[in-house]
Amino acid sequence: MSNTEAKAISPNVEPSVDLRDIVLRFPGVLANDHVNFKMYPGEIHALLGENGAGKSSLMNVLIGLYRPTSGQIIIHGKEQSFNSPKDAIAKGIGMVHQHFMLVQSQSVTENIILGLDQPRFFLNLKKYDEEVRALAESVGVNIDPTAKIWQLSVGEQQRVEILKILYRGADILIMDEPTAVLAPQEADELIETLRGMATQGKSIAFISHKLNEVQAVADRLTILQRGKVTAEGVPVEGMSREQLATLMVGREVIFNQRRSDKEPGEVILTLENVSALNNKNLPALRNVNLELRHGEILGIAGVAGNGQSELVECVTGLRSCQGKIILNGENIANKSPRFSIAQGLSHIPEDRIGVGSAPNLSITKNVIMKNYREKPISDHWRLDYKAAKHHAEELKDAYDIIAPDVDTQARKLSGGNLQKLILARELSSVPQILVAMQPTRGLDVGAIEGVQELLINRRDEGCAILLVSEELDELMRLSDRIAVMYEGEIVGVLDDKEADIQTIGLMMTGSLRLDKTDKQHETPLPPQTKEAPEEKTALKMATPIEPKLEQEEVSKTTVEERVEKFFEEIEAAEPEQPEPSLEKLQAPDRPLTDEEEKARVLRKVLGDKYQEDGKQ
Amino acid sequence: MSLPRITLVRRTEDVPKWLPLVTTLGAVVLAFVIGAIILASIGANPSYIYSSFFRGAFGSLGSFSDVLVKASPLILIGLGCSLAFKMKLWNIGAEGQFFMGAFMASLVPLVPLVPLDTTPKFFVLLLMALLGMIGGALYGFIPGFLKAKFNINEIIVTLMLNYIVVFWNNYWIFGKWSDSGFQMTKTFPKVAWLPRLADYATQVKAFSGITLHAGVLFGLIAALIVYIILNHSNWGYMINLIGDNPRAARYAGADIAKNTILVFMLSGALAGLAGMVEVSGVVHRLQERISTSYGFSGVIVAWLAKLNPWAVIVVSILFGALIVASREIQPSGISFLLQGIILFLVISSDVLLKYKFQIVRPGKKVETVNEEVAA
Repeated sequence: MSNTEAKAISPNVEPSVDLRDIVLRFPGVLANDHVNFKMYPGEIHALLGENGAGKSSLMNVLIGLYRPTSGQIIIHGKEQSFNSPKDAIAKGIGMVHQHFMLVQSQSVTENIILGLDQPRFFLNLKKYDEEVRALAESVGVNIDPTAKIWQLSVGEQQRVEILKILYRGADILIMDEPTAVLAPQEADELIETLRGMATQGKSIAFISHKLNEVQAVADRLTILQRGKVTAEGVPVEGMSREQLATLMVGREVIFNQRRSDKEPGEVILTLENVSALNNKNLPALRNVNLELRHGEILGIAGVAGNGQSELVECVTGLRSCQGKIILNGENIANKSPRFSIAQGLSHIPEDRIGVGSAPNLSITKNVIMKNYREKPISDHWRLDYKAAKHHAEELKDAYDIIAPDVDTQARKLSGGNLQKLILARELSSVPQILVAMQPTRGLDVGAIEGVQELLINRRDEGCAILLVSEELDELMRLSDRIAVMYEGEIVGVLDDKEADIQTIGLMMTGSLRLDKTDKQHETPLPPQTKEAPEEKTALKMATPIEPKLEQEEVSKTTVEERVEKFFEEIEAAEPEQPEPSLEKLQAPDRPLTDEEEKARVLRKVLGDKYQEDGKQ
Repeated sequence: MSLPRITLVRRTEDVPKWLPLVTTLGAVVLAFVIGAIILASIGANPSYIYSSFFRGAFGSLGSFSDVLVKASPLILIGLGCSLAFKMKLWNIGAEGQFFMGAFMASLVPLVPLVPLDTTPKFFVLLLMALLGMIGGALYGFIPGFLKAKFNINEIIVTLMLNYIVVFWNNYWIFGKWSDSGFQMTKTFPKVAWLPRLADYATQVKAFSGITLHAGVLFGLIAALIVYIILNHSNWGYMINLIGDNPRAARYAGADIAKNTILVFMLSGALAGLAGMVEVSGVVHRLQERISTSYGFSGVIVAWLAKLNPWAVIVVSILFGALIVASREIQPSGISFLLQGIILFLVISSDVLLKYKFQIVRPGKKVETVNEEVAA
């Protein structure tokens, strides 16, 4: 793939960006310590580093938001001094922030021309619509200029942000963790767009801390560790993930953690035919059946928005539902969150700031959120803040929460430390069952490892863990079993022995279902009549798959056999008009061999993940 | 660029504990200075006016007692508002809850609910206080319930309810209980009056003519109770938590609907008690004008006190003094002018808690300090 065709940078090509010896000092913090950073036209340059390594600070220097304490900014061979982002955009530098700055009720075009000197008074919107359309086409972005922002998906909104910068004539783009807000599918599309722009000679800086993503997208990379450069402009090709991780955190990161060697215990949580609506009153969960046992981690895999959030909210009492959710013999469906907390259920929410913490309250007040009614913190109606503070100090030490003291407001904590606070609160109560949603999202490699270690320790102590994650690697590493969700249904539960990334990938995209749940359905599911949206369906030609295999067959056939059978079905089906995006992957004249067909499908479904497994 | 510049820099460190007090007091002092400039500019003598202000409010035991009488309802209403505001419930309806409390308390002597010549004074007053609180609480229940169940904006509801209760009261005052056609009821019998210091003038001579009544004690006790609720109870912690992040509170098991209604009712009960204090301690009858917009001043008091129960007492006394002092001076609007300037400056002074001044001298190499921009 193209990232392996790393561009040979000849010494006489002038770099588009040349940051020399940048020092950036905040009160008490040295954010950048003599950093050098060079980017050439036509390359995607990844900027890698842990949280707080100084990546964002460096880029904020480049776009004129911060002024460096010392150092030179050289753009296209000329030294510049930026006073504001306006100066930087005048020199063709623009940044797409993680949080979009768009007016929801206005159209794509209106957002793009907002704040420009032209048009001066009369607005001929049609003319600008055409300009935007032409610009979008030139970079291979598919978007309707007249659509209102609120009608667009997150991925499309991000493309509007990119167009906004391109419209202002930028040839140097900075993407701040662009995939953090995207579903895997959207991330693939973004990467394609970025590659297209790079071939047109633009320079793209790509801030990330996802190693696999960097390997997939970048030509070269620069790694920062605690404000210093540990790798400067190194070609991505030939670097192993372990090497990258070491350069980032300064130590070997263990990538394969142990699975449980004990047999899981009693069933603690049972979901029976649970259905629920989402916030827009559309069906989000359809007849979900699951079982969770003591001492096991049950992973929930799925593309974002396939019902995982709703599943977690139903189990934790935050959303009403139909069906039964039985925890320790008690039906907790439609009971209050307080009821499930009292049953020993802990919850690590997806949204740390919006749900998991009270930002303006102290660490102390945040850690007692769930046990403030219990002794010794509370005595009947009275709350003993001394005891609470003592409790908070113990947790601060035990979980290594870095803060001046426990009176510090939660909003002043970094993402990793805030997550530690939430973990401290949720795990210190020694839960019987833990529901963790995206527990490592946005954390750096070191923090991820710490969080995962904590989960595994709790599992080994007998806690039952429901782990929802979009990181397949994480699920594979931690889970004892993996249930895959697609369009609100559990399309199969896999043991760790039979789970492999290809099978899960197929199931996540709705291309394969294994109707082997823990319990057989009492009411059979309606056959899947609904045609999945095209982008999500990898195999357009696949005939509707027989939803159910015979029961005996289920127990006998292994997953591999079923995957095999599945591919046979594909082969048997007459291919319709192939999708244009598949065309280039497909050999045009002769029929495909089994191997090629499989590879083609997997490449489409898994994107870059396919490559790494192909290598093995 | 050759002159030293002063720039505002966002504070990165925690604010020192003494600073909020200093900025608030500084703002009050500055308000008087600005008031003095305005007075001087229209040809008045500020020092003379301020000294008569001061004498009018604190010059004698009698005038200070008047200040406390004015402060009593403000304390109760300010406390009620503080409680609601802590949970980010914008109760602008203290005025209405005050009137409803006054109405319900007046039922005791006017209907009368108990035989007034045989029931001991203590029980009559206790019943009046209870009914006053119930009246305010029920009137607070309406916006609380609408907010909790249907998420209807409580500002609009409370604001409109203020007008309804005025007409409700007028119906009873004019239509049923009018004292020979005047827009007031007949005076309550003495058994329904809160005890005043003047009642003890035979024992202590100095109390002669002092109108200070027991209502101020209600304010002090209520401040203690609100302080304990907010700072030392489970419930207060929950109010804080819901106020800061309702989604986190729900996740932590709090019943937000229930607490919305409860806090609104308690907030209303305190305003209702203020209504009882006014009719039983000061006017001794139900009439159309019993409040000089205490309900709205209470909102301001709560803000100026930064929702701190003890500070509510201090601010209420300051406001009481401004009300009393305004009698000494013509036009009386000057004290409202000062109230306005104080409010404006105290609220603006919050900037100093978030930013600090930094002097940038030219020529001298200044270490670049970047403001942390929230992503």
